Amino acid sequence: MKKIEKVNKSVFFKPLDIAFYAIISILIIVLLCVFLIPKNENTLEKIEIYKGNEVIYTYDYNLLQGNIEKLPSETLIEEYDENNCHYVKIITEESYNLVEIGSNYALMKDANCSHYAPCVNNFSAIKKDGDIIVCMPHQIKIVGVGNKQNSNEVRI
Amino acid sequence: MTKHLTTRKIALLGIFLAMALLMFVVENLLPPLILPGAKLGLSNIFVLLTVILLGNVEAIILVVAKCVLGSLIVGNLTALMYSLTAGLVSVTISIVLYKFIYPKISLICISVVSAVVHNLIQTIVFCLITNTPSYFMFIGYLALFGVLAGVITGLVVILLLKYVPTKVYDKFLSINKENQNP
Repeated sequence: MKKIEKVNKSVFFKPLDIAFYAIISILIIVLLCVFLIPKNENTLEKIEIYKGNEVIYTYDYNLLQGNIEKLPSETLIEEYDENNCHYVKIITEESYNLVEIGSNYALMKDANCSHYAPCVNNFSAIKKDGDIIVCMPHQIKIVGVGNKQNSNEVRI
Repeated sequence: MTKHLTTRKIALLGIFLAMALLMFVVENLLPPLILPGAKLGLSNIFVLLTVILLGNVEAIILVVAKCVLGSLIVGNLTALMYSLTAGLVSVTISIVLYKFIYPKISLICISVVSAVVHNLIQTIVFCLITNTPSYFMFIGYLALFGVLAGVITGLVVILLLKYVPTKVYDKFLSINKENQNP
């Protein structure tokens, strides 16, 4: 019970905490600077869907149409339009992922990767360049691609 | 080993595991907080409690059991790869800080360091597994989120130890009495 008494006597803050908080603060600032500045706020130009490391489907916002880039073996891609949205269904023998592509966003609408489906519930919609949604069990990745020229200018 | 894992300790560990799993599952049902995959990690309250009340081996057992069973319950076994790695690293850090530096630092500080490291490791492993370097752009925010999660976890642990009557823990942790009984 000494352990509990020790905690009960302790306070919420100790002087040595400052050293740890300082290290964490520096780490966070460095990470924010490295990975967020320059921040990429380019609007979407293209949506790319990957299976593994290969692009299998792209949707071009300028042309407002999708294109099957490469169809892996035993994989089927179905497309249809409904309620002003474009839907892409990637089907294999045991899996399926339904991608909803709207006028300025893309999201994973449905998937049978697991009971909870983190790719559907955990990832917010892709709205700008660099946003991603990953379905790990099915090795499906949706990536938002913006105007590369503009993004390079910002980086310089 | 018998000294480590007495029946009473196993019972308390079971209760902590059940509570941690409950938190884990409930949190998984909720939408992400601000960032994809961001959670408060309230189940880590019981991990820190285990480090303090039961010991190092028990805390590692709890983390492994929580990650494996949690992934099975939620139905996302692939998440096990990054949640288990991050869980084991962060609990090791908690153990080292608690064993060697506490009480020179506060419990909240231990919790914050552990939560930040957890988020960093989880993000790195996730990016490596899924080959998504673009997800690294969230790493700073996730580390910042870890600070908030760590403060909440640390506060709850302190409050649980302060306001839950000592005799409740005493029932489970009176190892000497149990060992004396034939």
